Amino acid sequence: MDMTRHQRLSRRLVPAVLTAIALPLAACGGSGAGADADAAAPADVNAAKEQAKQFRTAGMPDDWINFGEFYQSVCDSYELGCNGFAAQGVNRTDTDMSSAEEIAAFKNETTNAPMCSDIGIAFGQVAESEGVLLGYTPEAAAALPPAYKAADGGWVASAVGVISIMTNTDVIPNPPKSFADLLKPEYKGRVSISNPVTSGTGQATVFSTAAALSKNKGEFDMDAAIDYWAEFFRLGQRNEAEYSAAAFERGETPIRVAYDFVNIQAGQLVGEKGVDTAIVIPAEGGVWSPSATMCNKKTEDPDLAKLVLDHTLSDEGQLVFARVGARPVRYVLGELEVPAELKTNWLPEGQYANVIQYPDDAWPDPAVVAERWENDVLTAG
Amino acid sequence: MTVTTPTAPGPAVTPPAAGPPPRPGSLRTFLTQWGPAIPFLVTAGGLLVAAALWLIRTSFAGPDGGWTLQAWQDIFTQRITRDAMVRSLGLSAIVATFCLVVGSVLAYLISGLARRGRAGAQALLNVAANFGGASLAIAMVSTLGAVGFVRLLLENWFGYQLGLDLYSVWGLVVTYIYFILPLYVLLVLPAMSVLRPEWWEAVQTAGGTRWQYWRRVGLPVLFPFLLSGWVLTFAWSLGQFSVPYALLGDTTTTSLITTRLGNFLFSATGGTNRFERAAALAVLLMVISALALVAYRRIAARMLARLEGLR
Repeated sequence: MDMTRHQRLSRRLVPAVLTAIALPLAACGGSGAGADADAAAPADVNAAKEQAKQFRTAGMPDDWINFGEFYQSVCDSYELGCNGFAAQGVNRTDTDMSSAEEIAAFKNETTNAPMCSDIGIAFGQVAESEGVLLGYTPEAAAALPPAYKAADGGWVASAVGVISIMTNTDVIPNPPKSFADLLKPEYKGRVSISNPVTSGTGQATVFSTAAALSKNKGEFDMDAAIDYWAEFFRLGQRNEAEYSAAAFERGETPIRVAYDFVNIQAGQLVGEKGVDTAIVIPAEGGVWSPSATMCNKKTEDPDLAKLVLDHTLSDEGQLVFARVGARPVRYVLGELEVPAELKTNWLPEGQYANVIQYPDDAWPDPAVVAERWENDVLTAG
Repeated sequence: MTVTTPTAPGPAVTPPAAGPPPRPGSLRTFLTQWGPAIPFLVTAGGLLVAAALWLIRTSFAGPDGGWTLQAWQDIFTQRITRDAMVRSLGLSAIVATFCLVVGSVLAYLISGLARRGRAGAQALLNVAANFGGASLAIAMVSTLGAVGFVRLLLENWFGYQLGLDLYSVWGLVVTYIYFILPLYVLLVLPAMSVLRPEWWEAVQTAGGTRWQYWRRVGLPVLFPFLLSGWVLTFAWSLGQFSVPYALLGDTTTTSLITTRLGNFLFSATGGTNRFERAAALAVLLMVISALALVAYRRIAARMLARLEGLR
């Protein structure tokens, strides 16, 4: 038995190694013109069936806005006969990366490059300017505002989150309810946030305060956001420990600022172990912050990638996201009804009263956010 | 990092018996002499030399492939990166100095143990020295973190409030020392056998005290060995990435050269020179390591000379 496994391995390994050597050579000689020409054409489902046997994604773990079920739903809807769960590793494999790493992977990897990735919405414009995107726009994208899709195809918003505050009330009986609360002395050293320099959640955190703390409602004020976070660091509110659901459960990081759907899932997880949590949308509000799905120009599975983009905006695909508490982008835009039974996990609708839609066409450049964070916020601490 | 290539073998000596056809013979000798070194040369050349050259070039690369000092200027003018350099150097110096003082005494005590005790101590040190990386960070959080059990035990049983903040520079010092101190002891342990019991007897015969023995004989003999240990520990602390990253995460304000480098890399997207700045920081680390290595070799040369003199 060992022997057969070994043989099978080497039978696969040898061609794989040879291809790995040959492909870059072939790439030098060939030209990418052919691929570009039919990038905008609709997907060939038969070709996609073949491509679905083995495909690779990045930053799309099964539990992130329900991508496991989402990919299963792609497989089922188009009768591709594949398994969408990366954890089972039958057809889909996934590597978790930050948005910037994903763009770098799209740019630099040539053999078996990731087909599609989940990015923080502000990275969409970066991917566009790097020219790494598959030039395909699903029909349904016509209904999206400019800030929710690529100008020339390649990425679309998928599901929308809002930054929320989750508190371990076993450790902190009186949970903070607003951004202003987070600055109170009683929460000093207790508040855990994501890094806006590297992560989409961190950026959404900054964007949330830019919307919530602007002088005029409905506007987006980055200066107000940077001032707020500088004050936050100056007062020493930030929790220094690395966040994980386990650290939250122990009380090492008792207050966590993250997307509502992430906190809802984490809250359920630790709730099953008897830890009491409170999750609120900050009273000042925030901004609808979409995740986006982008697909790679260089993918070897272009037809499957197109189906993924199509399915992202289809009714069925959209409702898969709703199941874990992420609001489907078309629901937020008022174009899709979500059945009540899928909303059971959601936070009360009333908490979202002050949440606004991003008012401009292009999100702030991540590089600019990163520099301001490093030079104006971190230095305050 | 410097790479030492094996010294070239002398001119190929063709055995007289091989006589007339010199061409294929000399090629074969060349191959037999250099052949075994090829894997090393390829590995070292590809993984170290080429990579280092590429890093140096990248750190000077401008937006359109030209040469520029922008990345270097940026890392020294950005306050948090500059702070990270000072913090990294300070942290490494504190750790190395602590090891020099405490580790040397420990090493001396261990060298005085009976054979079995020494073997046991060495085994323990080996285990501790290899207990680094993310697992050490997790262990530290669960013992000394905000709700770590050692902290809670001290509070509940003895009413003692542990003042150490694990997520500060001093937390890093404690964490580093946990695995670097054993390494230092292992490094300097062999040197302790240089001290001979006769010398202490000689000092006593001359009416000297313990203090005078250490001041005039013991420490001067050991000094280069201990100093080389300091240099290696310093460089070793400076290059740590996984421990501070796992302990502090990437949102930290307690940043080090290595975590700044990681931060630049993880956020390097087009239109910025963050990747080039990461390269510049990497080159900076290489330069410091190279300097440490040069210092180490100088000290080592002196050590050898001293050992010769002792014979």
